[in-house]
Parts: sequence; C-alpha cells; structure tokens
Amino acid sequence: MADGRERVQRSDAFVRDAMSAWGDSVLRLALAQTGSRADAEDVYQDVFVSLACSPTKFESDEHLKAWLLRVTINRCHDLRRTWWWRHIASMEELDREPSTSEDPTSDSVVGGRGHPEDSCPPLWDALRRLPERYRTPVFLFYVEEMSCARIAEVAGCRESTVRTRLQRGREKLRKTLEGLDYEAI
Amino acid sequence: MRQFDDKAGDFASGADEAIKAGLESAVSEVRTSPRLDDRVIDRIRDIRSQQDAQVPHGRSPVLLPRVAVGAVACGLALAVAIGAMSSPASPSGTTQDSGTGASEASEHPFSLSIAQASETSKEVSVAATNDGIRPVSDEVSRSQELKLNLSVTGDNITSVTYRIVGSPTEKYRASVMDKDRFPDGVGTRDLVSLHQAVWGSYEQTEGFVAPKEGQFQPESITIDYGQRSADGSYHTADGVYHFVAASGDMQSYWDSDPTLQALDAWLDATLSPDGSDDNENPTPRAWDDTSAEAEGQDSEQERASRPKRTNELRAAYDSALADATSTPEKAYEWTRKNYISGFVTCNDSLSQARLEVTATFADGSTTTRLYRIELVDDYERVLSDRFDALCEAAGTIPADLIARTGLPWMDWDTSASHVRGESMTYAGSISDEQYASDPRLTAAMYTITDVTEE
Repeated sequence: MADGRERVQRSDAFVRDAMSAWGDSVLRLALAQTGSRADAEDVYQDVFVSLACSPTKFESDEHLKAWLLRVTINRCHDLRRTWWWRHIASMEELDREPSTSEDPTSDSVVGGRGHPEDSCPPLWDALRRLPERYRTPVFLFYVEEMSCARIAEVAGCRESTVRTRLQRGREKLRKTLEGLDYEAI
Repeated sequence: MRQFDDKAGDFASGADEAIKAGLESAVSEVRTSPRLDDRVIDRIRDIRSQQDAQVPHGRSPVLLPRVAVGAVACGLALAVAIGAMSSPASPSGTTQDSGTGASEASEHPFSLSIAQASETSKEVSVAATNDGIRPVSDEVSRSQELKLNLSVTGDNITSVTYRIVGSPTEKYRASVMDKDRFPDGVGTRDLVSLHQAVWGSYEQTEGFVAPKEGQFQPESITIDYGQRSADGSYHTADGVYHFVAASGDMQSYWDSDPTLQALDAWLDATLSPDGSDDNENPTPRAWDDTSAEAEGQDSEQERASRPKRTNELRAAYDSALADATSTPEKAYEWTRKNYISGFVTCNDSLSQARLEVTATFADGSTTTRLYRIELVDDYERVLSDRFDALCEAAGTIPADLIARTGLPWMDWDTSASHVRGESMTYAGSISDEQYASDPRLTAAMYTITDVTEE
C-alpha cells in the first residue's frame, strides 16, 4: 500500500498502459477473492499505485501481468486479515456460504451492474466458496488461461503445488455444483 | 482419480469446458472504468507531489484506501505491518553520549507532560480528555486505540522519538509475499503499536489518513518540536493524531462470554471450514506442503457433515444471542459486560508493552524514558459509568442495535474519532459539549507510570 515513504518510479503513461492492458484481469481476480466490487476497486487502486512505486524491471508483458496478479493476491490477503473484513464485511459473506444455504443456486449475494452474480450465479458462487488456495489457481487457469508454470510464479509456489491445487479445486468445484446441469450453465 | 495434465490442456470433458465457459461468461461484464483509473492516477500524483513538495506533515494527507479508513474508524486496526519485534528495552533514563559533547542527565531532565509524577507516586492518573489519554472511539471490542497527548516538558529539546517496545505478539497465517521471512507460513505481529494520522477525506468517506510525511503505522515516530510554549511545555503539531493501538488476545476475549464463544465457533466453521486457514492459531507448514492434512483435504464424511454442523453452530449462536438479549435490560447489561471485558483484555497487552520516549537536545545528547500505560485500579466502576454515560449521551439502545446487526459490536463517535455514523455498528455520537460536561466521560481511565528505573 502506498504510504508517505514510497516514491513514484514510473510515469502516468506507463501506469495507464498497464491498466489498459491488465486492469480487467486485476479487477476480476480481486473480485473473485473479495466478492465485493468496492473491495475489489480498493485492491485495484493499491495494486497500480504499488506498480507506480515499484522499481521492478519487467522483462515482458507477461512478466508484468504475473507481477500485477501476484500483488493483487497479496493485497487481498492483507485485506482479509483486517479486523473490519473479518468481523463486519465477512458477516455479509456468511449468509451466502453453502453451509447456511442448502440450495447452491439461491441468489443470496448482492449483485450489481457488472457483477458476475448477474450473469452466472451458481458457478460464480461455487468459485467463491472454494478455499482461497484452490480458488486462485482455478480462476487463473480458467479465466486468465494461464499455464501452471505461470500460476506458480504468481502464487509463489511450485508448479507441482499448482497442479495439485488445481486438481483438488476442480473437484471441489464439481462437488459444489453436483446436481447442476452443466450444459445449462 | 484422474490426474491433471497441464500440457494436454486436460479440461476436455464437457463439464470442464462448461466450467471454463461459465466462468468466462460470469466475468465478461467486469470491466474497469475511466473513473477508477483516474483515481489511481490521482493517488500517484498525490504521492509524487508529496515527494516534491517537502511540506510539513499534517497537511495534504496521503489517502489510504477505504478499507484502511474503515478499520481505523472502527478503532480496531491491528498491527498489520510486521515490523521488527523489539524486545523489552533496557535503556536507562540517563543521557547517552552522542559523540557531540553530550551533557549529563541531570542537566537535561524531561518527561511526558501527562506523566509528571506527583509528590507521592510515579503513577499518574490521566484524564480521558484531549489533553490526556482517551479512546479515539469508544467501542465494544478487544482492540482499542488511545489518543495520546505527546507534549513534553524539559529544556532545549529539539526532537523526541517515540516507539513501543516489549509488545506481546500474536501469530497469523502469513501470505506468500512473506514466505522468505516466514518459511513455516506463520507470521508474527505486535499487539501494541503506535499510529499517527490526520483527518482527511477519501472519495465519499472521511477518516484518518496517513500524514503527509510518514507512515500510518511506523516503527517509531519522531516529532520535531517547535518553540516552547508559554506553559513551559513543548507541543506537537496541530492536526496530527498520535495514538497507541492495542489489541488483547483474541481467544481470551471470545472466551470471556459464552455467546461470544458461540459466535467464534460459528465464524471459524464458516470462514475456515476445513480448519486449515485458521488465522488465529495457524500451524506451521511448508509453503509447498500439499499433503492432505496441510491442505485441509477433508474426508467425504467430513465434507458431507459440514453444512449440518455449520448450521448447528449458527443456530447455537442465534439462540445464545437471543437469550443474552431477551429483554432490553439484559441486552444492556450484556453489552456493558462486553464493553468492559474488551478494555480488560486489551489492557493485558497494553500493560506489558512500554512507550519508549527518547529526547534529543540542542547539544546533540539524548535521554530515554520508559512509560507503562494501564487501566486505573477501579476500572470496573470507571468503565461501567462510562458505558452508562455513552448510552445516555448518544441515546443508544443496545437491544435495538443488536437486533439490527445480529452482532455484539458497537462503536460511538466522539470528537476524537470525528463524527461519521457510517459503520454498521454505529451506536451514536457524543458532542464535545456532552463529553466535556459529563465527569463520567472525562474521568481518568488510564494511568501512566515512568518505569525507566525499574
């Protein structure tokens, strides 16, 4: 997060180009992690402010994308650790957990324009219910179409770990969706 | 079990293709906006202008994201930064030779104004006012933030550095960014920390933001004091809040009440259903450990029984809450108890830490003093009276608020926290006039003791 001691290292044009190229990816990942458009936008801002202040030399666009998504994941972790999120924001979350709603298709999440709930509630809901360590690789693989090697770079773990988590995440996703007509999704 | 084949792109089944298509469809409408991008650029320009301007702190704050403001507004910010943990310090209150012709300690006496000992004791009760020690925002919580008057007395003081030493710590599940520092995945953070902030606005919300110069939660705070004022003290710059944030042991607070215990059980079961993400008591594990145990890979039986179990815990909490708040009177007394136990739990951490204050004098020499801050002896009466006063002044009816939120938490706005009224657990506001005129609110809650010689 930016603070008074950080220094801007990059031009506005560089940051705007990065937002144009990868902004949607950052926002989608943040939304998948937080479940809240407002929180996702906060994370989005922090990520690109961090980019402006980072001295990292990027070797390629893919390197830049991986860096942005990694910072996004970590910022979401920080957010989840805050008291506010755990005890207040999470209360809203609780009411949409599968354990409190036997019907996985129940529309219990507040949606909004441009919110994934609007277009695919059961699948998005199921993704949101995955533990974070499974949700991230599943999201990056399916939505961002990243390779396991690249996901490993983003998640900061070994490629074999990604494969394991991807497999387990997919199985958990299927379990959650069990009984749904996939063709209808 | 079919193995995943990344190279072959093995999501070839109809179900996998449907998942991919479904998720892509779900996020296809999620787009950034020029407005959001402009906000990013505004923040970057703010930082850049700060670099260039070299403006004294307390003006043009660096804006923190909404969540940081919210956390502070709640008065519940935890020590998020994982600064180097200081061991209980051993500096004496003697002058240290800085190599610039240091003088003797006796020539440079100094003290925090609020800690000037009486003739009979080094322990001083400090009024809960802006000139003393007062909560930034009164809350029902295991965490408190205490606004400090950092005026100092002495002669020829040029600057004073403050930091917290000897804070107890708590563990948390570290994020991957910290994996080099915490190879077992378990991070450590201080329960007591120093904060500094100014009042500012962020988008539609006002709140505490980091000062122009310096972090919101620095490892130490150095204040360059201006000229000595007529009362003989050196005062801090206007507009900058300095406060100690202290959190009690989370489990102790949950365990202080059966209904809070029920809430804790339900939260844990729902937020960490497989127990592997337990942030309150994380178990060490290697970052690449993908064993079933580390991954929280549960059995079919466990998975099948989880919804039932979680619903039972939810029902148990609802039942306990309904019992604790079955009448307005019971809700009032229950909230009062939680209000007091929050301060008590917090005090366990606060009283272990020390506020280390190091003055630098005009001749370059330095002197360090240590202070302990803790609740007054008759804290139960003081806090009980304070709770009554808060409810009276703000018109708070705990039963109504609890019925609306389903939570035991609440917070009151005072001039120290600035009026906002936006939090979910907002319990009402107390004006300056109400605060100043009610001795139950200004009564000393804390003592400060110079423990340099201990």
